[in-house]
Amino acid sequence: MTTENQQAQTAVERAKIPLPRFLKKNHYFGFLGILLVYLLAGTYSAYSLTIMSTIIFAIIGASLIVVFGMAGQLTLGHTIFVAGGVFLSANITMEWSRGLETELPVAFAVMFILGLIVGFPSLRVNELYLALATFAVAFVGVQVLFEWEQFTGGGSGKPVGKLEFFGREFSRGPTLVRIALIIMLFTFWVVGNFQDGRTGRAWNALRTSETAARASGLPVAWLKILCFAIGGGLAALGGVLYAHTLRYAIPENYGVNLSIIVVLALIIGGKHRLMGAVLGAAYVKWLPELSRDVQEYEGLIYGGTLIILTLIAPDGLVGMFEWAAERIKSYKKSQDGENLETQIAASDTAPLKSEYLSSIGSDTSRGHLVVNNAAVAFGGVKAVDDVSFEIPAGAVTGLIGSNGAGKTTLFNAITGHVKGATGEFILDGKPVSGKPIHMRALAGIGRTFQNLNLHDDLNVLEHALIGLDRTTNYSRIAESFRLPWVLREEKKAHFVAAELLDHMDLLEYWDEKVEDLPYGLQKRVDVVRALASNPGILLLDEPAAGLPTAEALEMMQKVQEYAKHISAGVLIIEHNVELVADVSERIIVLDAGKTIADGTPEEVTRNEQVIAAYLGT
Amino acid sequence: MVDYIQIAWQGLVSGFAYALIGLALVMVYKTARILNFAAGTMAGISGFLAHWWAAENDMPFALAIIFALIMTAVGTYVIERLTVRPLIKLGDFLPIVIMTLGVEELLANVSLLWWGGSAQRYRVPGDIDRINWIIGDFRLNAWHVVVAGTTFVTLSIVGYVINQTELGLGMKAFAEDQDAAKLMGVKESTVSIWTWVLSALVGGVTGIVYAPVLFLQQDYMNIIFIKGFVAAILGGFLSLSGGVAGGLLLGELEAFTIKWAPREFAAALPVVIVFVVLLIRPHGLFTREKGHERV
Amino acid sequence: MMTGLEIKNLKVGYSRNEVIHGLDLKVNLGEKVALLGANGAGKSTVLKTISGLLTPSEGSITFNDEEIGGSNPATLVEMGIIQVPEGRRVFPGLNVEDNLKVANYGKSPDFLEEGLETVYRKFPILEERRKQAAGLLSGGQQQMLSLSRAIIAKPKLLLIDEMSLGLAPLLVKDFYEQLADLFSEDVTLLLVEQNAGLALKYCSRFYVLRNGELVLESNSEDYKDNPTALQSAYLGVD
Repeated sequence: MTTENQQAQTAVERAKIPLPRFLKKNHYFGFLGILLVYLLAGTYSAYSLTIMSTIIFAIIGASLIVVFGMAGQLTLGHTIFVAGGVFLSANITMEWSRGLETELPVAFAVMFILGLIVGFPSLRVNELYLALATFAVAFVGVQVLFEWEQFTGGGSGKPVGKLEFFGREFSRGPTLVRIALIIMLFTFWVVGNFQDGRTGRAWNALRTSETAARASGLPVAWLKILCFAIGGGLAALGGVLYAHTLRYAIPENYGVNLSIIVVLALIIGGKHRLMGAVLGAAYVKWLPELSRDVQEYEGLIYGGTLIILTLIAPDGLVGMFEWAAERIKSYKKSQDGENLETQIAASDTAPLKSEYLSSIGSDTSRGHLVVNNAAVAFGGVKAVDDVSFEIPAGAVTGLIGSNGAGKTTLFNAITGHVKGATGEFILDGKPVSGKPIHMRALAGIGRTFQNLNLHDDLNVLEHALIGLDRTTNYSRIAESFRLPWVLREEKKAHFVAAELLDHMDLLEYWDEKVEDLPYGLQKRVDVVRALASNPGILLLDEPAAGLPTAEALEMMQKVQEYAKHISAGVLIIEHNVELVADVSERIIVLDAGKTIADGTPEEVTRNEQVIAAYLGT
Repeated sequence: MVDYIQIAWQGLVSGFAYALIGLALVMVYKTARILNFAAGTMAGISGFLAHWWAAENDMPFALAIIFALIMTAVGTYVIERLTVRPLIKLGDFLPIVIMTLGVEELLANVSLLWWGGSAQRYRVPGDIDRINWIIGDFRLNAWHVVVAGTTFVTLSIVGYVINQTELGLGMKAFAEDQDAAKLMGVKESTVSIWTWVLSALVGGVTGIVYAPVLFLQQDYMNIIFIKGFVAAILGGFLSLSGGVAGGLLLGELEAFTIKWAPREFAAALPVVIVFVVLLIRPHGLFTREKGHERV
Repeated sequence: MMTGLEIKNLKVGYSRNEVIHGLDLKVNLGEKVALLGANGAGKSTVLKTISGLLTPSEGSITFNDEEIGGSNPATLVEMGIIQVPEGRRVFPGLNVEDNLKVANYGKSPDFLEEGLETVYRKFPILEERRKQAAGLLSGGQQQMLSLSRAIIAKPKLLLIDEMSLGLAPLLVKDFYEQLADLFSEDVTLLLVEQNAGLALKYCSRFYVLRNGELVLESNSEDYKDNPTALQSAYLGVD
């Protein structure tokens, strides 16, 4: 390969990163499967009820993927949305004499709004509480249905009207199956689009680390509520189908038990994949068909399956298949004597000069940070005690001090990660004090974490893309329908991310899950995520801790280069004084929450008070 | 006036159940940071076991209860070792919650298969659950008095174990700071197993004394489980006495709401309480807010 | 002299993050040794591994020639290996006396009585506040409580982690001066400290860790009057 050829190649091409496309391989398989069932729908009428309920469960499962699989909010109250769909359908067909054209949008809209309300506790409590709070919602939901006779007909229920679409009446049988398939197609399309887009990425991010997601500028609170709203709306579509399948809506069908079964089914199938929703639905719905004996022990088998799968295959059946496929693939490769490591050709052009990164470069220095009278107290102990300083734009500044001196707490005060911080923080003339974490991140404060707040389960490229969310520009509605500009923006983000990975020497690991990487590389991923957000000032909390000095120095140089490229300022906490002295123009020293020295590295490392603070007296 | 006393007493009788289950939930949550979704069903199975020994095996009433509680303890031991313990080492709590859901599904179906779906009366000696004393206008059910007595005895025993025994001290230390407790020689597995067993026994006692009140039905303890959870939330989920107080408060609230509010609202009360408490005092009504968590 | 604690080629880390890259260290029976180093050097990790909170990924730890690496902390406590954790780690919600009772966990109540007597004699303020929640004590009092727990546990090998953390310098000095009085002469001690000056006054030998590696091992005598020589070992700058 000639040099010119290589030069022309972008990082994406060299690493063979698949770019977002309108239709992927999965889509074709999905269409094929659904088409097959569609065509065969009329032939096995004996099983049409089982087929119907499998489809409905798959739709509910897909809606749960949004809430639980992606956003990680374990909800046990999901059936209230299904029940909502069912009773809205009954009321719309009977009271208003309208058909699906009204039922589906109204069910979606009303349950979307209910989702906004039900999602609210997720803002206040941890995942354990949430599971119980939603369990309570499901439990009480049924009781409310029983009591609310006007809407539900009380204990005896309410009949469901004709299956109509714009006045045209359909027979139930195979036609209903076909309608259900179309709705399933729609649901899967939307959920799949979220999985590929920024919202899905953001949900994944908040599932794996909320703290880090906030620091990347993601509106965590809104995202959480939104997942319940979208999940609720989509589940209601399943509810409408349920109503037409059973033709009669009775409150007792939609109790806690159903709530648990739908969650169970998704976990058994695999909560991160749409295929998991299908497999789970099939498992739960087809198992009882095997024999009468199985029917009797149905619940026992589900419970047992869940217990065993949780112990051996937490990602469900899909996870097992994927694991097996992976093993076969690597076995084949090793049999063929293929090199498992794919070599990525080096680029002759520095990544910073590449088309995508050079456009991000900036000439105006940013990161002018003013800290006025910052103070944080924990129960009487002043962790940060009246600290003030000013960092000029574009500067690299070190922040050192012994254990417990208040360095990280000061960072947390600046980024908003600690409650009750007082003082004034001004970035490039804009005050950020008092704002929520993600707003400060959006204002240009990027940070890394001392204890590596990475998103386990996600790969290196996705970390970069999460950082890039701040600069990606398309609406969530456009995303749910996979509109052209969504793909355009996504592609651009992929190009930028790949070049940035290349710059930080991470390109060859782009598709590795971060938890599989050695510690040194994980540290880099953390930095990449922060750099990707194009911060005005970058707060690095012990980026080199635990790294050999040479490796740490190399990484810091890369960071410095990039920061200079985007004209960002850097504030760095580091225990390796040697390293800080090497990269910083200026060092601030904290001790017991107070500034005890501030000057050039030479001045500071010779300062008596600093030496005393480090060695003790 | 008597009206009010009657309602308050009714509220107290339900409140005892919420308080006990709330206590059982908080106990496990506090020491192990685990929510046990199977708690309600486990308590229900204790009730069924006691009924089974007494009614179908002609065992004396008291002995049947003791047998049922022993089986509850042994069963809980097995459940903790087989399902929860292997996951604790992973350090992630979601799989454990899901695991308890699986256990709940399994146990609920075991009890359904064993006892069937129909409601059965749990007979107590001398049918004292049907004896009502009338004092003026005030009606007092004899079994409700037994329920109150059992609650006090159970709470006293739990209080004794937690506050007066070395095991209780270990549990408290472990709940406060796991690593520091380990460094003092407190064994994690011992504390965990005893917490589970103690919690299941409290649940079991609740299941048994409330069986005559509620009728034995496959899922008769589920509603109490939910309300016990609401009680725990009211109490801030980390305070044992808070959970108990929350239970009593919930019982009263409920009794008075049923009297004056529309039925739909009374049914929705627990969820309304959960939402309101989470909104204004997520750390519970009786405890002060804890300090920050370090990033 | 008999070897008490011996560590050979110890490697430890948290998940994939290796913090200690092959450490050799020896403390003879009855000896007082300090493990020094700047923050983040890995000192606490070493102590936590000895006391069983962390499991070594490689290497061996022996006490009185018995392999103890990776043992359950409770077993080690029974053997007399007691750690005073960094940041005091009292149980804030338990009262002072209950905190002390936990230190006697699994042992006869007679020991407790004897221990309480000793502790209250040495720190009368703790007796005064024995019904008060430990979380309400001042930092210095909490450190007293933390040390008292170790007294009650009757250590053979005592591991003290960073006593100076978050305490006023004068107070810390006090504690160091009291150490000899609090524990009997034959207790083997490994002390982790950032504050070199204080530790050297009390310990006969010391090791310095930097970034998980041993950079210096020496007698305290040689450095007592020359703390600035430690500076380069600590900070890595001249």
